[in-house]
Amino acid sequence: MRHLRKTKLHSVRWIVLALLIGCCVNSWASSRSQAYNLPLPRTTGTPEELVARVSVGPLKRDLRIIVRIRNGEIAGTISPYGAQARQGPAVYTIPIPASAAQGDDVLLLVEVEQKGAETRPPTAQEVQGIKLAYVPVTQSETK
Amino acid sequence: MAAATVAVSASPFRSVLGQAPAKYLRRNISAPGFPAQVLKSYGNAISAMLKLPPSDPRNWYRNAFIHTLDCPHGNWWFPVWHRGYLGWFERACRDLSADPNFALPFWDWTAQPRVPRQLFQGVLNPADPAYVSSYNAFFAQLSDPMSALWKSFSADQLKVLSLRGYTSMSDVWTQVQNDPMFCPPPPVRVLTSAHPGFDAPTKKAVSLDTIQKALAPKDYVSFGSDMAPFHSKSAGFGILEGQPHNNVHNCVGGLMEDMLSPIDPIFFMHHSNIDRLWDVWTRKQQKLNLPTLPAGADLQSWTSEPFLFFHDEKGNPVSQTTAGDYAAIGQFDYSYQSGSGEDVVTTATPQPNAAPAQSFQGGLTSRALALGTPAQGQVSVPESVLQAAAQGSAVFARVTIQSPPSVHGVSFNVFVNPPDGASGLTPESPYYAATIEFFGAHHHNEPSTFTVPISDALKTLAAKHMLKPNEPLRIVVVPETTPGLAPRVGQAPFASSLGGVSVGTF
Repeated sequence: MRHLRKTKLHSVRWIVLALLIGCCVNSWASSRSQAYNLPLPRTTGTPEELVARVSVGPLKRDLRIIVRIRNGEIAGTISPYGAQARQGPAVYTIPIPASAAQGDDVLLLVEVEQKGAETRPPTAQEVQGIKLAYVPVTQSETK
Repeated sequence: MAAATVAVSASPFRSVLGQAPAKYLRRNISAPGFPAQVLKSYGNAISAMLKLPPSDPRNWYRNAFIHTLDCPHGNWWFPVWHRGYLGWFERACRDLSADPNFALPFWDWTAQPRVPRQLFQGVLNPADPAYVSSYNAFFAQLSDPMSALWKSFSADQLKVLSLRGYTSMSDVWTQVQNDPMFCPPPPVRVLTSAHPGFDAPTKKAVSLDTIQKALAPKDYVSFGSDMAPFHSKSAGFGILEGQPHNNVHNCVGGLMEDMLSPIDPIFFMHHSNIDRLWDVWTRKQQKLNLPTLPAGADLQSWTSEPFLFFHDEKGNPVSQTTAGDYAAIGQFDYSYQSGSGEDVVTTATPQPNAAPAQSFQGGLTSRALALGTPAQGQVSVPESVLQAAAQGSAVFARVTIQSPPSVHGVSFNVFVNPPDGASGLTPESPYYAATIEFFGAHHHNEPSTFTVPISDALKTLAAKHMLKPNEPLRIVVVPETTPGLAPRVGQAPFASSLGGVSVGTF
């Protein structure tokens, strides 16, 4: 019984710690990145892969846009190549891992990284919109 | 697929299908046993090209200018143009190095996410004294030869250049000058021999996970970047181009960050790996009996795109002047040593009961699109496709809309087989398939093609016995104001047209 109580207390501590970490992460995310909560377009068929189609406007040199999923893992990075591409607009396809979906939504955290400056959320001109889509794919034995 | 095979076979280049063992082998620069002779020959060729007068098309900088003038990025010609560019360059290297067996090596950045150490040695490093070291010196050397080249361009070449925004050689110099790439600063490369490794975002972009996702699409457009009206138009980036391609360019940095990036010898090893991955994807598709090129009516648009600036190993213009000429490796006659991503070929498995992709082109019965004025097309589709949709298979409609300069506040609902003359159609109706919105940029004046799922609508209509097997499907496009997005003040009344419809499994 004592052992059970100790385990419960231990669990409560972990939950409190997790909540504290979560608050910190959310706070960091809100100041450094823009959160996009996107509805899944529909129930997935098979085989398909989920992607984000990110519409990007003009971007300055030395600047890139990093797209992360809920747990902070990088899904992809938009780094326009060449002067013409930096003038935008263009749409970039970012692969989204299946684990990023929670229920009917996907949360993406989008941040702008620039050499010598603090990471910040994108402006409305830099990231003009994000949509989720499914791409029909082939299957392999390992999937 | 049949159309694709015909188009490729008609080119002077040999088809990928059923090709004999290749004459040349492009090797992994970091593989054990990589022959030192390959980089020795590459260095000899570079030295020879650096020494050629700038009036010679094979001059090292003149070759880089082909990329500045003509390279496609952000569209479906990205893989094929670079195949042609590398193929002719490789021949020039073979000729100028006097190594008849020379083949470009590739840099498998998935296995080796850092600049290979050999690329910091001799003329393989663009910081070597053999290279021009300032923009002014570069301009002094190249200005007159490039002006002479411009004067020699044909009307067709000038038309291609104008689509890129170049109406004179000074337009080109303005772009080069506005992005000065010669040291100091910035350095010729950001990555150095002391710090050659990629940063975390670039490591993710070249990771096996990302590469496998880049190789997964079952159609060419999803693999090779978005469709566009011409090859200097940036429309959208697929995973292969937007992730490993772009991020490696910018992470290596310096010269590699801009359109004169072929000045850095690492460019050709980077793009050799991109071309290798296209070859991997193609072989995966062949194994699964799936299309290796754009399908249906799209194929002609893709193959006929003009590539007018390549020259051969003697500096003469080449006779292979369309994208279709480079759809296969063909007369370049090389193959690749195995590298990262090859597993997608060996492990590819056919979908159970999968039918090959099909596409059916429709005709238009009304084209004009305005608020209150729908347009429609009709597509004859085999009954088997309708039955497959009713059983849950994915069926899509491709809708091409010629848009006016501004579509802000307007979206397009797509319906299947609504009653003739029906008004007030809503997304709640059983005929509704999808809504199209022009996304991001609000300045479009070219046709845009959208692929929308119609499986659910077909399934609903079949359940209500509203699909007749022998009648064509009617695809109706209805413009409406987007809820919450009013047209802008001063915006002209919306008017557009439907450019085409097709239905298929794609």
